[in-house]
Amino acid sequence: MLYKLEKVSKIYKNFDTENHALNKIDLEINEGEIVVILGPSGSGKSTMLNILSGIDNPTKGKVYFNNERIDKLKEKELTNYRKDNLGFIFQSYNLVPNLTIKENIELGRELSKNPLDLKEIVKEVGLISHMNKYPYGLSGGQMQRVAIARALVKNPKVLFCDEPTGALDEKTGKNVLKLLQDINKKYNTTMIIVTHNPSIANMANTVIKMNSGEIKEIIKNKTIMDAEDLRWA
Amino acid sequence: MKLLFLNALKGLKKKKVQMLGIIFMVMLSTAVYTGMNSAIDRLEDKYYTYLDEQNVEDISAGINIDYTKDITSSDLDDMLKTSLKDITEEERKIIEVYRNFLKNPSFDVNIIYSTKAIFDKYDALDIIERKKLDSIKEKYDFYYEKEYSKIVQDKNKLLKVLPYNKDKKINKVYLLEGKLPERANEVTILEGYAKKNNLKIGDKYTIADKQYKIVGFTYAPDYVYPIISMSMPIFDEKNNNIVYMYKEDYDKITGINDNSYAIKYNFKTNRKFEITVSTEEDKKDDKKEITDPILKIFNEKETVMMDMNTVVRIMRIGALQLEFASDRLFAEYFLYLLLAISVVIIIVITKKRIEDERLQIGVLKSLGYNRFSIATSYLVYPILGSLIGGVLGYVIGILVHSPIAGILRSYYSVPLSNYSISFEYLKTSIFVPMIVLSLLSYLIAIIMLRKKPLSLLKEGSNLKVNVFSKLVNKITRLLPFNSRFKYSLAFRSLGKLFIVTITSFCTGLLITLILIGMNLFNNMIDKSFEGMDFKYIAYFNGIYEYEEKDEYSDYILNVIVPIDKIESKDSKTKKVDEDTNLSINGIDLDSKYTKVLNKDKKNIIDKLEDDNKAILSENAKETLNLEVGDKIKLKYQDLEFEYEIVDFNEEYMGITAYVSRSSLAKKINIKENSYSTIYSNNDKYSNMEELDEEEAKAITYLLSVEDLKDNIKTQMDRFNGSVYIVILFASVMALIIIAVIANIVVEENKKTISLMKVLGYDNKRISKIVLNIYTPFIIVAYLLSIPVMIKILKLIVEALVGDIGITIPIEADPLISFIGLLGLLIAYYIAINISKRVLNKIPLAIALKRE
Repeated sequence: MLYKLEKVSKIYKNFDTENHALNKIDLEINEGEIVVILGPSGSGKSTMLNILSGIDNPTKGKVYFNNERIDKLKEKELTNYRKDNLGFIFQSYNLVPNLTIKENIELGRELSKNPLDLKEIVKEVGLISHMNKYPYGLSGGQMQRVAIARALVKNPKVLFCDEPTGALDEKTGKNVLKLLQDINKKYNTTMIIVTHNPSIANMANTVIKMNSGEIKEIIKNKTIMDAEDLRWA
Repeated sequence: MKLLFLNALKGLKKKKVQMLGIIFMVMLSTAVYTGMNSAIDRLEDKYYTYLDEQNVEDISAGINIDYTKDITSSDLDDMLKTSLKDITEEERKIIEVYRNFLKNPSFDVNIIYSTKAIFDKYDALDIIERKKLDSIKEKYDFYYEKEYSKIVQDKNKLLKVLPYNKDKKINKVYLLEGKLPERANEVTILEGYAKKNNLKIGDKYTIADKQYKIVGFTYAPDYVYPIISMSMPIFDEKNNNIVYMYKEDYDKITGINDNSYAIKYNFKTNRKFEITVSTEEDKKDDKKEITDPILKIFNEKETVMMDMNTVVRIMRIGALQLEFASDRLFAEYFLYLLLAISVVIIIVITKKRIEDERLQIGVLKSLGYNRFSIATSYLVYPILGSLIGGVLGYVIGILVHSPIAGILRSYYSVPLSNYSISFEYLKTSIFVPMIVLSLLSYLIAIIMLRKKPLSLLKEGSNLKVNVFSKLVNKITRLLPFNSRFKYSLAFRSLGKLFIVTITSFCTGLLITLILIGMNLFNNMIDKSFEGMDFKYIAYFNGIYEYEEKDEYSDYILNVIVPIDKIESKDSKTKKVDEDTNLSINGIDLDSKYTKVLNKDKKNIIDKLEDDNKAILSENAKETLNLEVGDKIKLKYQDLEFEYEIVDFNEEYMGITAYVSRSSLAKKINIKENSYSTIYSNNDKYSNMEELDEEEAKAITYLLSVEDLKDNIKTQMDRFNGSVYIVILFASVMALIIIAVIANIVVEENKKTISLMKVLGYDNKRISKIVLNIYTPFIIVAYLLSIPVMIKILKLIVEALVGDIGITIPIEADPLISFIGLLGLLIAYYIAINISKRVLNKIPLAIALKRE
């Protein structure tokens, strides 16, 4: 078991009102799984991602990573937790515009004590001929591949993907998901994908359906679909 | 448009550091502008009316007496009945020799100098001087009065003593407080001196062991800048005093006579002194008539002459005008300098805002807003900055003007006018920055807003990398990742890099200027006093002969001789301007207290063994382009002689030479035991009272080297202190500018910073990569500024002082330059640390925001 959440709540206070972004969540995530967190806007899925990745702390409850509590860690310790264990892929890619593709990936590699080979990763994501180019001028799919490479080169235990295909068309999106799937198979990296696209759920081992800050349903898929075969809703 | 402006106003909250930077710059510049100008107003307003009310002289002149024709036998008879009635038998004989000489006059140095010495001793030339002035007073429409004063050395105090005369018409005494000395033993003094020496009206005051009573505080109106003697050329409020006393007391007190004639024209004169630099043409044409109405009198060369007294008196009265002009100029240039820096900052901020808001702007343009109305909203920075900064600066300026006026007044004796509010400065403080800053930022905004709406709206339109960045990337390929990242960030925005580099360069120029200046004067002082193992210099009013040498003194024979020709070693003639004089100091080779030092600090006096050898000053070398082996040919009346240059001594003022005293005496046909100056360690020269009457009357100037050193060192301490203030000020300025830039850098890279935090970079590492990007540029810019400033200074010095016979060595001490760099780097790191706090607060969630 990689992650365990016990009665985790996140409450945002705004003057007199309280917003329960997460409400007494209990959850377990196993190592090597592809987990999709599904839900509409405001369902609490992004908050869940933030809590799991240590970007935010819960108001109540406990969060365990590898049997160690992370909800009470100080900022420096959380930074180290992210540095040593996690990778991130964002909807808006977040590439540094004045660094080349290679350097953007190096940004991730610099942090790791045990990084993967950069050239191999670049080959893996199919961008070997673009290494010395700048982000400006790349397509959305290519930029997302760079982001994946940056996250992957760290050799993380967990890859957090926040709407990785949100800004991409269907074909490009499926290519990116295929890549993620291949990485999961090859490196046994746990993938936690947050999305509002229900089609993506079919490629997951576990699907967590959220609404109004609560887990409505947890589905364990018996058959895992290849990303190429997904049909966009 | 109102909404756009409102939107811009609301956005200010997030730009606090940048806004504060602009406000501070405007505030500082307007504070200095208002403060300096208000302080000067209070002096200047009163200064010109003061000169009129006290009927201050227009000019002072020395009287040119030709001993071969200006004095008649009849004049001698009159003098013998009046001023010369108490002369000795010996002196009477000399007068009779002179009377015979008048029957068949020729230039005989001995007779003339001996007679002059007697006339000066008894102040006997009064009749002749007045006769000469009377002969031209109608032509030039003036009246005159003789100014009597004595320089009195009383231990470490140097006093100018003047007799109070209630009937005086020119240079009337100004009473500040109390009353004037109308009885014996009553004196008035300077108020500043009283404060520094804890004296007040009614107290006893001792001068040369005699007690007087202080009855009032006065100013001598022809001593606006009170230069009392060349022994203390820089006014020292604690040790310099101007004393008015009752005439009978004045006659009894022993001191060096410092008399002159004050001239006042009957027509209105313009009190403003103008500095003109003589051109090569002017120098060639010595027959050119003087047309200035105040100086026209000097066309009468056989009657009057501009002597040292004339110059010193002009300086005393007119120095304050220079102060006004230079201080006002400084205030104005400072204002515009800081505004220029503010303009650059505003340009960077405006550019950044436009880049950040490009989507918004694209939408506005699509809706139909034109770029002119959008640009107007960016005026919120300059308008607010000028308004707040200008008003604050004006108020601060008013508050500090009084202490500034106080500081000026400690150097100048002139009453202050009352303060009156000048709204002129308020208008300048607000509107000049507002117009300058608004105009330029508006222009920049219009240029930057010229893009089409679609290209502004296009995603990724802000991601383009400039060519320079790509080039830098290629160059830095082999460096480690962190360094490459730093340089890519630095070169991404050339504007910011330019500002930081220029700021460092200008700060470096300013710091180097000040440090060289400090070093320069300290060096000059040290070098000037090297080789002086004596305590006193006594200048005599003529050439005297000693019977027996005083073992504590060196005897110097000083003669000023026009240079006729200079011949190089290979007999080629070197160019020398007409009227170039050589001040020759005849010195004994066995001098105990005087050394003639060369650049290696070696005493080269032995090189004067030969009667025809001379050691020239470094200044002479530079000015006349001299070399060892050159021959200087001199013409002194109908005497001709020459010297060969054997070396140069480290003296930077004047065209001077050292030769053997006995050889000089021979060359000008006077006795070998002749002298005109004494360099001495005999303490009798510390107090005029201890000299015998004859010697005291023969001395024109008595300089205490120790007092001069102390005087200059005291002022240098003040100057050195203010140097550190300037370094601090320059560093603070650099700090503000760099803090604003660093703040912009953090803002610009918010998303990257947030991303790096999410990825796992800690704050320390992030700030190292993102903020510490300018260190090498700052160091390089500063180091480049040093040789540039040295070159500029050398050009300025050459232009300014080359004409007046001074050479100033310009050197930069590496240690001191390093201190300057340290100051700049400290400012930089403080600025970085200020921005670090902003960086540390950037939330991780920004990286997760969807665009």
